[in-house]
Amino acid sequence: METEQQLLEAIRSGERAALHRLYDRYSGYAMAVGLRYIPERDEVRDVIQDSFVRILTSIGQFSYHGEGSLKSWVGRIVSNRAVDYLREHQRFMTVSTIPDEPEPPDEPDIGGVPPDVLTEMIGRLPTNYRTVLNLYVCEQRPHREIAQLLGIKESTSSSLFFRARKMLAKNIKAYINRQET
Amino acid sequence: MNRDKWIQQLHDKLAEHEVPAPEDLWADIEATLEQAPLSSPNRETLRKSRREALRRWTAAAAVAALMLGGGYLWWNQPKLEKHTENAIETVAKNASEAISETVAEKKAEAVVRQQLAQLAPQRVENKPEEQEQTTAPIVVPEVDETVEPTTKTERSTVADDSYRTDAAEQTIVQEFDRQMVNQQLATKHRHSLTLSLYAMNGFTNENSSNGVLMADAMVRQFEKTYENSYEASARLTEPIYLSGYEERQHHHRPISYGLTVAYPFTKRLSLTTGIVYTKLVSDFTQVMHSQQIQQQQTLHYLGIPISLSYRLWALKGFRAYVSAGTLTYWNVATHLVTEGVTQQLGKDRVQWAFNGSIGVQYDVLSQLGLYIEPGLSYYPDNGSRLQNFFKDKPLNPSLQVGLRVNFGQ
Repeated sequence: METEQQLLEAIRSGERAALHRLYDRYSGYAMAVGLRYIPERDEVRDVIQDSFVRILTSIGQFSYHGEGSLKSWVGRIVSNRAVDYLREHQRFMTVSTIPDEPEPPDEPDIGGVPPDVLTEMIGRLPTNYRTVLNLYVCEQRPHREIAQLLGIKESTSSSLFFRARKMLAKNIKAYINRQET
Repeated sequence: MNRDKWIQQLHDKLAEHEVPAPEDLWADIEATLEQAPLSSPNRETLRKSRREALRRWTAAAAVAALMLGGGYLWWNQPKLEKHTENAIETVAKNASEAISETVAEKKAEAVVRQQLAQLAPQRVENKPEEQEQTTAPIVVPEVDETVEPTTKTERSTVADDSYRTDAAEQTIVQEFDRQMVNQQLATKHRHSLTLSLYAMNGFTNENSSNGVLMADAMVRQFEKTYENSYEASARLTEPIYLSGYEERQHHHRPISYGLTVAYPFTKRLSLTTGIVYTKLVSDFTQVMHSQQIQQQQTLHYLGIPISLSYRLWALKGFRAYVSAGTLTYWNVATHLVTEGVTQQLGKDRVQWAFNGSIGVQYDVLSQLGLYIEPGLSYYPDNGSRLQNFFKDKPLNPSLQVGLRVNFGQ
């Protein structure tokens, strides 16, 4: 299988078909990332299209850090574009401070939950919750950066994340219970 | 189960997940690429070229303002000299008329001629170190109002008193001196405006490396999990960092370009203000186990400096001075580039700076000086969340070099 480095070299040498190969390779991943932020398929389509145009036109600026870094980059562009889209469409609730829940939730084992079900569950969370959860869990961005990106306080990002995971854990538990009965 | 592991499990579960893209999506992407085959969907390119154009227009406007301002004052220079010559001629003419009226006025004629003789060389033969006291054109439009009545007074006084004593003569000389000194000072303060064009940067880069703190929610779970254990008791005094995570920051030296105008209050004291552009660039590296993410943050500021300068010493074209003041920065643009992808960020709050410096200027021409100004700047925390050079290095030495145009020299 063609490595990311070989694919990049082909793109940089001007091979147009290599652009299509990059799309084929990562469009499914990009869709999964996008749907976690924007569950509406029609809307996420625009975000993915815009993201790939950006990816393919700015690939010259990408610096390769090893196998997997290209995929991370693609995911990050989709994530950034999705956040921009949500901001542009004013999906964010203005939150100053959210008091933390006193008790942390009991989190179920997610080993048996299919990823498409998890994606759907995350997509059903309130926009603020799922955005922070995606950025923190999937993008592994620290709360400082999330706060900066969304224009909220670091403590608010932390609280939103706490609530998001609590709500997600509850939904997962309900799903597991339904499967067991 | 352990919360950290739960997050990791969730991450791993979603990391490889894929959802088929719509079938016609590639065709749409290709069509967009056909329309914009070169760099990124023209909007980005257009934005960049607009920003570039704006930058060029701003620079051109600054140069035009400098030239127009300089040209205006330069253009007025001969008129001022002409005024001076006219005034001197008027003084001479009036004095001559007065002198011819009585014999006793010969003493007055001598006095006036002596004054005129002293004035003429002062305009021509200026030693560099004395320029500030002597070079300024002597008379501006007020001359016609101030000099002429004086001579008329002299004329009437002289005409009425044909037995002038040495004391009276002395009075005239003193009065003449006083008026001339006042005129010189007024003229000097009005015209020795200076315009500076400079570049400045900090002396140091700033590097730092921080661990990544465990999020509050995770800390609570950690405390619950390790209740009554040594780890939980350690939490009371020490923050908990995530293993394998690190954030490295590298703040580049700030670079500033400014255009300032100095207005002299006295021979030594002047007030400076103007406009300054400052660019702050920071590199952030996030290390997450084996993965690294590079980010570059660029902040553009426009600032207005207000400072007072005090001249300490001047000799043969050299002068030394001290300066202190404030600078108010407004963040006009902010962007973050993550692995080649640009995002706009929220703007920084207003940033204040307190500056102190010592400078040396050398006048290569009577109207053009080169200067160098090492100094120290303090940037108090403005309370924003943006990480930048100002926050990591609130007290920072700086070096300013520039050109200074001295009007009225």
